[in-house]
Amino acid sequence: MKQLLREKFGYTSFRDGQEETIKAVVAGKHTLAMLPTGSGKSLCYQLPTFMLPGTTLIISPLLSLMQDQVDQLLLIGEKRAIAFNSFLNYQKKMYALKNLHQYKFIFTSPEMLQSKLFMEKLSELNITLLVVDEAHCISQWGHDFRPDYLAIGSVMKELGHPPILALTATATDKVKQDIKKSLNMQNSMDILYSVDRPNISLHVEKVESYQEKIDVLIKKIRALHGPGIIYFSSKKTAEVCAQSLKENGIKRVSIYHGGLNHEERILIQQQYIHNQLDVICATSAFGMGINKENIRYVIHFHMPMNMESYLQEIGRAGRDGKPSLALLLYAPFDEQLPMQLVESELINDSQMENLKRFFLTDSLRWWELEKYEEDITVIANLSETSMRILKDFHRHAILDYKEATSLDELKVIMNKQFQLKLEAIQTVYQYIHSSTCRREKILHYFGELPTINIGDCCDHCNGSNYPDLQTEELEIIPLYENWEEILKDILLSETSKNEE
Amino acid sequence: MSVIQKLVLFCLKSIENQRTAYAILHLLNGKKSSQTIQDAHLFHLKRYFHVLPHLAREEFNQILDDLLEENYVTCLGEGSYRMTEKGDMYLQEYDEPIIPRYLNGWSYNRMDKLFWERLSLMVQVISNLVAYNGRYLPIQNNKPHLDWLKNFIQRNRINRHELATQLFKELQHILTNKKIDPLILILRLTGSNRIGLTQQQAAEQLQMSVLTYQLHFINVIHMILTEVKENNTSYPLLEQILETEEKNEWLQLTQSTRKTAIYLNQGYDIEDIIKIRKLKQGTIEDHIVELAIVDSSFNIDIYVPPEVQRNIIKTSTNGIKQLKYIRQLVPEASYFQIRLVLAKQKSAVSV
Repeated sequence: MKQLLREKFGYTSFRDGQEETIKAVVAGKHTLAMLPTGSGKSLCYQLPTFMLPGTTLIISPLLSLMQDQVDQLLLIGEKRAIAFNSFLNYQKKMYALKNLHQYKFIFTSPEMLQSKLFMEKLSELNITLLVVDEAHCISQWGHDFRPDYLAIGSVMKELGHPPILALTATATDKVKQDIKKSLNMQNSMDILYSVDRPNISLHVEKVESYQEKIDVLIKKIRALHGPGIIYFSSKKTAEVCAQSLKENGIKRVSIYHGGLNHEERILIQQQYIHNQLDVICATSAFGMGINKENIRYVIHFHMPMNMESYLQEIGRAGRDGKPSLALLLYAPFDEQLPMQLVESELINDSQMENLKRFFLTDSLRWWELEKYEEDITVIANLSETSMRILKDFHRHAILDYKEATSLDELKVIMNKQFQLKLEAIQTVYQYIHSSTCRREKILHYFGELPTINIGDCCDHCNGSNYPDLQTEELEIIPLYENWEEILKDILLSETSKNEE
Repeated sequence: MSVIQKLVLFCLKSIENQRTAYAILHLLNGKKSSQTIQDAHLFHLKRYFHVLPHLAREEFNQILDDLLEENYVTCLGEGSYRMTEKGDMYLQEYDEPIIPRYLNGWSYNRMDKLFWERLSLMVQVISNLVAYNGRYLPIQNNKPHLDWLKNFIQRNRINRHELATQLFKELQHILTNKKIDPLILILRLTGSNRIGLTQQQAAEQLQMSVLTYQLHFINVIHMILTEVKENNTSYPLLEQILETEEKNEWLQLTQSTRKTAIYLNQGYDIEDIIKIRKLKQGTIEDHIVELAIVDSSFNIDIYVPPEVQRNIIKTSTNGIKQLKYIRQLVPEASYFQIRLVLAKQKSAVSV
């Protein structure tokens, strides 16, 4: 196993939890692994896949995440990986279906499991491992419940009841129980590690206004050393801040968001990894699949939606184990933005009333929902996300021959979700305004107790001084003005070295 | 005046107030409608077809507003513009072809994107080969490109350092002594230890707007394409980027059809080719039908108006396949047009 780790992945040792998880998976046990962000969760199924005879099917909630995983595998020379999702056009989909048996890693979204053709092809394969990534999405108590995830439990038979590996970074006890129940894996091997990342010092800084926040941000970035990420909830603000940073002399900064195309995304990620950039102004689209060890700080310009995603995002700092900083900037009324986002992501009562009226006046409309998407969007004033929720629900409902009256069920789900999400924001709010140890707060939320004493714990334990962020001297690639020099650097650098 | 403003001004002059300014937007976007394709021919603007596929309407309006404000044109209302004396004078001072001189959108609009994607991948892969680095992310994730490149490396089984040196020489040679700034291309290239810039970053570094940069970039690509096609023996590696899929289609054609295709690509129409090649009209029409069969992306809109195409398709899908009867039901179509539409349908089905 160690040899495989070295040969395939170039690592010399496992991180916490990896070895145990891999052993359980290879032994064919159902496994629930809760490992902190940045601990290399994907290795827990990548390595076993090379040891198992058949195909590994990985179910993942985010399309961009899937592509990242495929890219990561390409990086180690594994080309038998595919992201089978709605991004593929018809032709590519058909090509992929025809050649599905050639792949060792198949990444897909839960909604794809409802495609008959796809399931047919899958059932012909020898699936020796089913991975449910971000498994907390299956729980209504989780911060990121996705109804489509519930369908995973029902396709197990067609897949030939393969061993399951459920992966998550952050799950409360309730969520863990939900995962096991939904996936029918009661007798699972549980590998649970603390969510704590001791080398990340936790800080919050309160300012009075938006403008002051930008000023403070610029000041901080100037003073901090090493590579960092600044997270934003809006693309626009990310762009504005990146621009002001550049105008204030911080040149090696770039934005990153979901609006970039593949080439741009790869280039910016790689520039960052190759230390051509110091700071990324990003939305939550950035980070998954970025294996950069020396990120020294993560700053949140906007308030996170919940503790789970906050932990996930700050967890990208300090993967090398060296002292790192998580800083959250807060201005009065900052909680309004996440509340608005929650509001727009869900379907509220009045929208629901309009929907019901629309479907009940003509029952045919319900069965032919696709035809009326535009009308529905206008009538109920639905956002893209809430339209997706409606369609997901609808797809399940008509499979069970449920009428439009079943929308009442969705209403109940929505209300519950709304409450949960507001509570989640409330938890972050309390975290920001707490006057006691921040680490303790986080651990308490996830049902853990603080076990070790940490030097640079948080601003309440150690005051507002940041830990000493030791940065290695980074090799800075000279920006040649001369195009021939650049071309030489790209194509002839190794040759010239040999000549010397 | 920015190079884009110049380009739009030049186009406005060329259409001589016979079309609205948006005809130019469609042209620069490379809209595949018969109107735009006809305009490109009629006003001799084929070189600028599809050179700014992402130019947005708002950006285009801004350019028009700027030209108005500077008094190069006057607005006659309804999107119609006329040159002012100042505008005329300005363009006359340029007897040389308008700046990005290598643009040739009509010939290269299906090829330039592919060429860049493969070139950038080729540079990245070869750079990593000479660095003995097997772990890197390909900057293009298009499977056919990756397959093509693998094939390319296998075909050119020479020492990796020789391969890199050869590619260096070809790029160095092709970019030297041309009326372009090589950095426009070079800044975008990714190697083993140097990651290329995005379009925005390159524009920023060269201190130009993204649109201006895009136009210069496409100009450089078209320059390379022309140079490689004209002197293919000097660029054995770059030439291989072009052959590929095209070559397969190409090989299926008869010698004579290939000649016709070359003329068509250079912008000659059927009448011109009849004169130049001293062949009958029917023969050239046969060639065009052949091209439509072999090349699924061959656009027949300039030969058959879309409405006529629809009528022909409707009739033929009703089970009538014989040209004679289709002709009776769609009298506005010629035999050539009917054959062309049927040929097009066939090639679409076989894809």
